[in-house]
Amino acid sequence: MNVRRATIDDLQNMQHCNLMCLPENYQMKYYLYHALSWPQLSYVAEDEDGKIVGYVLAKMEEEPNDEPHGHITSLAVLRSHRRLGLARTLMNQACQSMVETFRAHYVSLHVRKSNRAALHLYRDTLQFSVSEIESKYYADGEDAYAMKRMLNEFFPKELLQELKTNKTD
Amino acid sequence: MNFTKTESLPAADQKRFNMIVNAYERKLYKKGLKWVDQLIKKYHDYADAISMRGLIIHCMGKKEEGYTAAKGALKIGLSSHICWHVLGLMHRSDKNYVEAMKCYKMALRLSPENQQILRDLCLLQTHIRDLDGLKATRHIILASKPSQRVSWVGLAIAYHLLGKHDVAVQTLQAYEDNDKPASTDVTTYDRDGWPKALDFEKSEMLMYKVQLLEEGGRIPEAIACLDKNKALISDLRAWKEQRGALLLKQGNRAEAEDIFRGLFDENPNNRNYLTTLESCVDPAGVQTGAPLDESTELRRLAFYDELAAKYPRSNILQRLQLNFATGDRFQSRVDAYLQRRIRKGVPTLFTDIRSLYADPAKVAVFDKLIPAYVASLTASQTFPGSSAKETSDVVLWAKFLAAMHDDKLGRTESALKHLEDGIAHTPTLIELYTAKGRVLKHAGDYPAAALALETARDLDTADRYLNGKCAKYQLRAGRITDASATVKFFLKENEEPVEKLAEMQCMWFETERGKAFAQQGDIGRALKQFYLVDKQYNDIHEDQFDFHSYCLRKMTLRSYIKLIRYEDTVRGHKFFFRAATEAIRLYLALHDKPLNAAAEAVLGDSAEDKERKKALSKQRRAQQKAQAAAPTEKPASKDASGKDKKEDKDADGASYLQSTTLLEDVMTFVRPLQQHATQHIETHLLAFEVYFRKNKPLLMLQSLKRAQRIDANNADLHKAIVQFALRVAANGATYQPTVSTVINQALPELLNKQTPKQFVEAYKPATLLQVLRNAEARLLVDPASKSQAIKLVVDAASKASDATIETFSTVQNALATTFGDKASATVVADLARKQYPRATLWK
Repeated sequence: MNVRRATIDDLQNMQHCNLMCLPENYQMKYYLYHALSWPQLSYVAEDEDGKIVGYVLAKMEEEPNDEPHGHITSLAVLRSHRRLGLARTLMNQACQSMVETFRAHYVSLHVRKSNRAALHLYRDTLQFSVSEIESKYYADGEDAYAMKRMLNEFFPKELLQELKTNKTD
Repeated sequence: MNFTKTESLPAADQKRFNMIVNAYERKLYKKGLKWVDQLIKKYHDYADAISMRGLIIHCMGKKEEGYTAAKGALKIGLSSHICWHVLGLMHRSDKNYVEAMKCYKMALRLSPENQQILRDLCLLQTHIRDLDGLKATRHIILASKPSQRVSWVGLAIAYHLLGKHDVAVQTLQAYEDNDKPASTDVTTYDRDGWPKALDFEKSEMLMYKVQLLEEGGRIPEAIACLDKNKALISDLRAWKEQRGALLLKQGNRAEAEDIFRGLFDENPNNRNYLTTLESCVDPAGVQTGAPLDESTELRRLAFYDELAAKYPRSNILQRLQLNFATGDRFQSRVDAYLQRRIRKGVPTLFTDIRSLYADPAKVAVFDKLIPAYVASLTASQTFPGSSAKETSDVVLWAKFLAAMHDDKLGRTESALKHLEDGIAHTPTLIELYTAKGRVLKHAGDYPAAALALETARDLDTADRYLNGKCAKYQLRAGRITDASATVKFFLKENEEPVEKLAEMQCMWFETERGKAFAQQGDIGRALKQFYLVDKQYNDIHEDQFDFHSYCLRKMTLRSYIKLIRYEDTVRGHKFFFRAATEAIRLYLALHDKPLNAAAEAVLGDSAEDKERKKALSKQRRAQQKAQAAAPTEKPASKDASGKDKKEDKDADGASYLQSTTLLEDVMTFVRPLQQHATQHIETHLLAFEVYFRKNKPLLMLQSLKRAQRIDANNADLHKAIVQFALRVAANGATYQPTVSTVINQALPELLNKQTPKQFVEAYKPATLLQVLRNAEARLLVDPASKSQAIKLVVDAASKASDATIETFSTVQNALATTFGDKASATVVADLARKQYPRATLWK
């Protein structure tokens, strides 16, 4: 399995992977928007035949008054390609790039309240924790868990130190 | 009061007009319409306002009315740049680019430095790749707005697209020289090299400059640019990748090695980092073609072992060495590889190693190891030669692998036995059912395969992957209605599956549905599906429009250039290719046998198919009646009115069938393949088939030459060349002299300087399909050789141990129709049945 940064050429295959795996789907333009705004943040996993079997589609939240943070729009791994640790690898690569390129302090995402498997994955495997419950977040009226993961571990020590000092100033 | 132009309005109303423009730009059409109506009430002959009103209602879906208003406004305000600009925008949004361009240029003549018009003109020129025009417009913009960054960047992009990298670099440089330094802080955190200050846009611009230098062949300067600006680049990963690649290009392997070691450390699952690192360390080893000599193989394996000690969890490291390891070294490594993953229960293990089955020596190793695992684990719950007890799950996953292995080697029954054992042991393991479905599908039993997938789906209805696979298998089994019901499970109550999935651009569903309709002889509905896929690509192509301005502001220029290149060949994607090739085949069948006769031709002799044939001929008679009564309507593809068209008047795709210009219609699919999918031989073979029917000798020749360059031995190509030669022999006298000259020069080359007859006899068919096409070609050059040709085919079929179901079916049909020999067709059907006893095709 090859894990690498996604390029424009991957987007159609990511869209296909998304349609195969998840109920939340997006038109091509939304994928383009991600790739052309934050080309550093999305990653794909491809198998021996070059087929995209997993991806993470990520962005930055650019609210002027908030500290910079990333957001996972969508993450999926084909059912046939589970148990390879792909979700963790993809997530960590995306987080690394969020910190390197944008100095993101944390990364956030939403999970359907009913999706126990995803909640388990994000909480127990990918080190996220629930920050709040967003009522009726999804179009069909379902609530979402808003989850967060701090990204300190991806910062070089020296830089982290300085960020901390600045904060206390 | 009479006003035609906004400039002559009192200031307050001028402001109001600007608000209307603003409302349009922000898509607040209702508000805009209200305001513009008020303004027109006050000034009833006010051309600019009437024109704006037209634009707004056009956007709201009343297209005809919009055009009428805009054109009416022009009659009053012929000298108003706004009126021309507005009409241009309307044409643009209807993709009428030629008209749009004319309007913009008129508008510019009336208002030469108008930035908004210049910008819109640039967008259009970029969109239709009028690069020289774009360059000229960008120069005008730069001359009038030299202080804006986007003016410079826009010009650089134009030069880049024109392939003038040096001028593009100069343009960026000129901007940089005049620009204030991006940041006063150009230091980095010493140990880690991270820049202290972040400036994303500056960083992107510099990385783009490096790309320009590299593409222009200026490698040392590209490296220098990276080094000089290190403290300004926030995309650290790209900086390293780019620097490493450039150093390697320059032959500086030592420094490149350091970089790729670092990159592999950051992502030890990246194939490119690994292979590039190896090519830094051992370029000779990487370049040696297979099979490697022993010393090279040992050297390469040592490299992998050294890294593996440091990165024990890197999958790519363990997997890639299996590609070149041989003999005992391969066996011991693959043994460890398989055991580890069987223990972990990795469902994708077989897919992962499948490409190794191209090497018979490796197949032999698998065929030794895998059955031994099963035997040993079943007997003692240990791997061979080990005393460590494994869990019962390990036995299960070993059988799972054995099933996939057997399936690959055509041992259907053994594969199914392993899976049934597994199911008896753990009936809740879903992967066993999906695997069973796959084995049954390969065996040609689509209905049973679909049932297996339904069982899998029922075990976890919340999993969309299972749901989609299930629907796909149902479609393969011809259960079109059931498939729609299946996919609906993941949609909302009121959502209609076909419509909703089309909205989400779910192309696999459209293509599989199309194939299912085609299988049932419903060519109209099938074509309709493939046209839906084509429409998706229109939309994806159109998607780029907004990014022509967005990326220049965002400065994500490297990705933007990729977008441009991607959109230029967007229909080269396999999703379009699959749909288009299916559609072309249907069109060819339709042309050869009008209407439902074509559908009947694809149907077999089963009772079910006979029923369908009866229905079809009834349908055909009805259609013929209808056609005689009413003049044919044009196909729905050009929906000019574009108004709300909820009701589908052509649900069964009859308009496609009734077209009198089938060989023109089919070009919708042929042309994009010829432009975007040139690497596939099918593109050129199908194009040949179309031109053959259109009787276009030069285009036939061109297609054959392109196909020959890809694979001179291709079975279909062989026959096509003979068909072409015979067509030239028959019709050559009627060709224009220039055409004849070209063909007379090229034909001998296609035929290897042989006569068609010699060409046919010299061909060395290796596969059953090649034997068939060769026999068909033989029949064409020498009709008297028919019985001999048939014998060759039947002999080959009896020895074809690896022919697919599809090939057998093709052979059977050809014998029955082309050769008109029902008896030999039956013989082949019997052979096929023996090889694929579960295949429903011969039940």
